[in-house]
Amino acid sequence: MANIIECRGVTKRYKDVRALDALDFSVPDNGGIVGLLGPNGSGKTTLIKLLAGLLTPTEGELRVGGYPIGVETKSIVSYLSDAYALNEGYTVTQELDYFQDFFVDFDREKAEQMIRELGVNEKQKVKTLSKGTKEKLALILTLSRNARLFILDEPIAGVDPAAREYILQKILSHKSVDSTILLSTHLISEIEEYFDYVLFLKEGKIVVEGGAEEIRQREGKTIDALFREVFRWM
Amino acid sequence: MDVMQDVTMEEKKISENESVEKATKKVALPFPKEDYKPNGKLKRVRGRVLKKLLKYEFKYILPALLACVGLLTVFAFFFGLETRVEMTDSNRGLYITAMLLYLFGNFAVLAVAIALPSERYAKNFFKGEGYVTFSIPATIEEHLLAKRITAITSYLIGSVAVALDFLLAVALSGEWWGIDSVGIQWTFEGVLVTLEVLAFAILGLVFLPTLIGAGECFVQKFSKKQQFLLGLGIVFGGSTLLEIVLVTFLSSDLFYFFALTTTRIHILVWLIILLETGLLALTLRYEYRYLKYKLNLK
Repeated sequence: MANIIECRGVTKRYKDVRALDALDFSVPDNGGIVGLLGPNGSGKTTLIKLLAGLLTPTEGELRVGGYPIGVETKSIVSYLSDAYALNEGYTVTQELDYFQDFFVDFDREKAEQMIRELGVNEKQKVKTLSKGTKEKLALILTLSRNARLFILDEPIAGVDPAAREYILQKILSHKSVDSTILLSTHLISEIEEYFDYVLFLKEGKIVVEGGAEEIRQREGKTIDALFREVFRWM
Repeated sequence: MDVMQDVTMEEKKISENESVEKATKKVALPFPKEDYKPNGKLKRVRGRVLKKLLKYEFKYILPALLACVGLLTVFAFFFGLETRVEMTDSNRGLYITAMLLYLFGNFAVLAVAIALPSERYAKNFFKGEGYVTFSIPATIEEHLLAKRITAITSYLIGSVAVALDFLLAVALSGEWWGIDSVGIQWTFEGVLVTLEVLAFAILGLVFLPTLIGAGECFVQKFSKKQQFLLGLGIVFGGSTLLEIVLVTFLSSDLFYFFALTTTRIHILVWLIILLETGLLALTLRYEYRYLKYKLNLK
């Protein structure tokens, strides 16, 4: 089985700060949910931005679906930033047009169905939507692609419990063997049971990597408990 | 023993290569054939992607710009008509208002033509929208080309509108003020001068948005807010510096050396064109490298 993500010696430096330090890991192309776990400042967002093609590594090689990061990988990666960014000046319909124009794998019907469920008027401008609705809309647009890899940066952080439930439900309903969902979080207990694979990131280095069940059995504890142990002094 | 070891090493190497091959097995991409060069590499600028980017650029720029152009035409119309009527004490206020509105219209059209593409550049690349912009499968070259084409078109629309509305006002006033036709003189000298004027015009049209774009990239180091204004500030600061250099040069002995004969003047003009082209290439390179390697959205 090929890997969906291949990371070899990847370092990212911001001036004197080493955000990622010679990372070596791979994520198998088995589908399912991959948890990228680590405390704030561990390098999760930097790694995600590298995978999404928003940053370039200082050293090393990073591949998604066999391609070096670039236009090719952007066509098979669906990315949701922690800012839940959208084109603020567009209406919801225009936002759908934009995604449909640029992403061949965008399933408009699916998106429209979810937007209807959400009760959003498609003629409404994105900037007039509430923060929670914007977050849900961004998630809907991201998940409405038939991408090979979904990258969700802290999708459940900073949202109210009802929105968190909605987001988790949408993510879980999207789980399949054909695509991998990589999501970063430090709220592990909320989602731990759904992880198929986990990566622990500490000070820019991978300290734990492997199948979630295998780790639970090997360590004799939950991923959440292991996380608390690994990051106890941070 | 050594031979056995070598064979084992060789087997290990083959097995490693196979695993790398397997690990890097490429998934199918949704790009059509025309996106690729004959050598199998993806083109840096793909027509279909550029068209889509331009569609969204123009959707943003054109409504506001055309509204300003429409308004200017109305102002030019009234200004042209009023010049047929003699100014008296009773119509002085109206007379001056129409003239001021016409002048303001000119300024607004040119300001909007320059400001809109620059503002869109900052919003689209450096604000939250940047996450969406740089997530779509488009190259930096495609993004930059779309922005440049839009900006140049915007400048052209603005300039042509100002010129046409001036002609409209003049025509309505009934006084052509002795405007003669301007034609190209088909002598070597005439063609050369025309080429020089064209080269300066094209360079200027490309240079201005490039300089504003590079300026907006440059100010990212200092501020995450008001990039658009800071970018314009860099452009006007740079222009002032250029004027100082120009004035110093014009008053120097070196300029008098060039000004002695027509041939030398042409040599000087082409040297300036070359210098400007070089500067343009450097500015473009800086802008491209910044967006590709340095930009880190917050």
